[in-house]
Amino acid sequence: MSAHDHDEQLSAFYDGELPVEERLEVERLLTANAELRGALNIFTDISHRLSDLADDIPPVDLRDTVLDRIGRSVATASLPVSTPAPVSSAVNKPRFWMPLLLASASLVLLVAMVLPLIQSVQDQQILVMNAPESAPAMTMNREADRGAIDAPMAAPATTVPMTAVSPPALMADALHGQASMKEVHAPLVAHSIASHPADVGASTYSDSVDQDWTDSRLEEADDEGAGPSAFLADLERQRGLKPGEIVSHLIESSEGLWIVEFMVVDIQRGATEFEVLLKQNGIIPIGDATAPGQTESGVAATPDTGFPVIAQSPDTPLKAILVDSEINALNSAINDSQKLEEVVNWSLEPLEFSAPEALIAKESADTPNGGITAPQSLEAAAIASNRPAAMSSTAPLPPAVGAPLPARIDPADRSIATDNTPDDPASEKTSQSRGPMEEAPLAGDASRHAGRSSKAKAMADRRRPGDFSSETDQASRRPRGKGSINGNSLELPHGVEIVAELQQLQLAPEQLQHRMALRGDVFRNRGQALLPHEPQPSDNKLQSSNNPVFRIQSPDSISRNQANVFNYSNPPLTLLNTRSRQRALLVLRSAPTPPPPPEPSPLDP
Amino acid sequence: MRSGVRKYLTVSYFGELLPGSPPLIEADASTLIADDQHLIERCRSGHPEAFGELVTKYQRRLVRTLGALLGNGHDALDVAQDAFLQAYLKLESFRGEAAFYSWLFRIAWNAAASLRRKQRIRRGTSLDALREQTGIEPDDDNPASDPSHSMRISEDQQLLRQALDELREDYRTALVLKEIEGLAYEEIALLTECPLGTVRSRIHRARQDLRTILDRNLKTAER
Repeated sequence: MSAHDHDEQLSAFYDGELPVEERLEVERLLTANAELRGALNIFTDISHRLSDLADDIPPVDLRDTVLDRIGRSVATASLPVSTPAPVSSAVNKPRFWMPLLLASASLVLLVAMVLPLIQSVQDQQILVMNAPESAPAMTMNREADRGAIDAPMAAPATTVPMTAVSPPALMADALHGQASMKEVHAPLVAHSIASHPADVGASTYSDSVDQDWTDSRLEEADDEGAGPSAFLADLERQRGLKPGEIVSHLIESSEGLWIVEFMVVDIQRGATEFEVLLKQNGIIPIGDATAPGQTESGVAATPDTGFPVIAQSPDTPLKAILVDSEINALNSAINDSQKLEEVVNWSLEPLEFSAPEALIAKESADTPNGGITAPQSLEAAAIASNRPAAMSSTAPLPPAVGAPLPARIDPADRSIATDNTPDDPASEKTSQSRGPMEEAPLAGDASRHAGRSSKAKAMADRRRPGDFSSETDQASRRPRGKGSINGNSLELPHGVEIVAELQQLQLAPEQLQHRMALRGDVFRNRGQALLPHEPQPSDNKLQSSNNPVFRIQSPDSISRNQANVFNYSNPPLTLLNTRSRQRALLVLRSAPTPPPPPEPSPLDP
Repeated sequence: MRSGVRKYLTVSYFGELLPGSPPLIEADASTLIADDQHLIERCRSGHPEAFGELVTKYQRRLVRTLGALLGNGHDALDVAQDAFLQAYLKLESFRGEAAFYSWLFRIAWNAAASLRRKQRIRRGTSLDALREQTGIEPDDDNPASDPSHSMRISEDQQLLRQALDELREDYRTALVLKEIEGLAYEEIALLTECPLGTVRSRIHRARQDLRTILDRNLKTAER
């Protein structure tokens, strides 16, 4: 055999990466084949030259520079933070904004956190900004974990003169015993301070921000064409967005500069993995005992897991599937994926009907439904991607773990019916009042729902992306009809299905920051860095940023205020948000539409 | 900020090149880990200067690999600085299950990948815009393009550097991670998130292509 045929094998042999048998074979061939030996010598030559090239660097001394920057970062983080906006009575927890769907439709961007960039003027802290003066909104793209807000990946060369000297310089002096002040470098790329000299302040994370205020700032920015929507769309067009990537966007408003961070989510992968999780935990598809690929209703099953498809969009990779499970099994499946039992306390309301299907989604009487409805005969659903089996994640299935969190039931929580019946003119009108992200109804819905009730079929046909009825309308039309789930019927928007409802989401700040730390983030509360908990065995798995994320939304408004995000890695399913006590649905959205903000609940802390 | 950093680093980076470089002293792995852990604990207990020891320990190795990955010493230094800073800020999340350098390298790897992406965009847009507006070719700040710079390194190294830059990015990445960083195929697969077979193939193709490009460039230079 010639050297060409063995080239790749020879390359691996040179790297010591061949199995023993192959290595012995190559060694045997080398002794007999001069051509092979010549090829091996070429590898050796290239290797030596590369090594010499790499070694040919001048002496490197980064110690002082790095310690300087550490000093500045630490001093900046410890500065007191004053809130630039009215603070609501809501809990001081990080906010998550609505996901934005890009044209690619396979990725959903989630706003991980909105951070006030400019704080109190009185602090007289310096923030040297470098930015083109003409750009009101700059972008940062950090694929690395976003623990270091002071570490710009790239910054324009324009330097804005400093207006004051900050304590970080003093810290640097303390570290090095130097008397002279060092130049303070811009920790962040932002708008030029020349036009806002009075607004310059320390930059830090802060979650003491009114969510509505934040949302309105983002909407304003979007209206002006400088908001996240346009930015993300541009970014996607320019270079595409990578799942797990965290993208930062700077927004300038009258109240200051804000950093909005988005995490790119691969819905397809997330959906598939969740589907696998369900199946692995014994959550069987409806009609599993019937002919393969078919259910009793005649709905075609998904090719990879067998879950029957009840809705599928021709335009997006999302589809809705049915699962057949008792509520405890669903609870268990989701709980089993939790590696950190202290992270989240949530519960699923028990189901009181005897039908084989299990309800997944419900909502409380206190918080109006955001318009999630399901066909009458649909008792439980999950979202799966439309990816073929070959494209499924190659990661090993999550192992079952013991001691899941107990599903605590909140007896005070009642399910609410949002009976968006097809002949309900109010719901029809409401469902047509969706925003610009609304899409055409599913093309194949009618056939896919053959065998279902005409009502369910009509409801499915009416689905629109982001088709959430206003919560006020929903709350006012909540009959508890027969056939609905505990009296509830949930209208599912286009491509969106309810997977599970999580109530009483109570993630204490220290739990959240623990999760964030595991993701490599440094989380701050009121400007103070939060320290993580004790190490958990699955930590390293969460350091990868390329995990698909499920977005959990409250059904009452599906608003950014109450969004909870599951970082669904393999295996742990991790709750990231700390929004407490809100009912949430585990959904994967194809075309979310921001609903109106929810009515404040009397039970809100 | 970049200009400020470069200015600060001018003395150390643009200084006279020293012939060769001291070899990296490979201490016993367990000693390295124990030393690192001790330094990390000191950092965590409120002695950030201990982190400086980690910087001193790993800076050259990190810059060496980043330089080969990015093809630019300035960028390598910037990314290395950023990586060290991020590592410090996230030190609480380091569990010690892997070597500190492995963890640090992953941070730097992500930062380098991000920088390359932004450079591709910036290179494609800002240069075109500048040309359109001014009709002037923008300055190339890559030191490898500086004629005087080329005189300071051997012609052979220059050819190799150019050839490395011409490689397809995924090939170059795999080859650098193998040859310079010394990672195993499995580690490279994990880092680059591609199958083991792909890593093996890329390294092989990188060597082939590098050889081809070198031969071609050498013939061009000899004319």
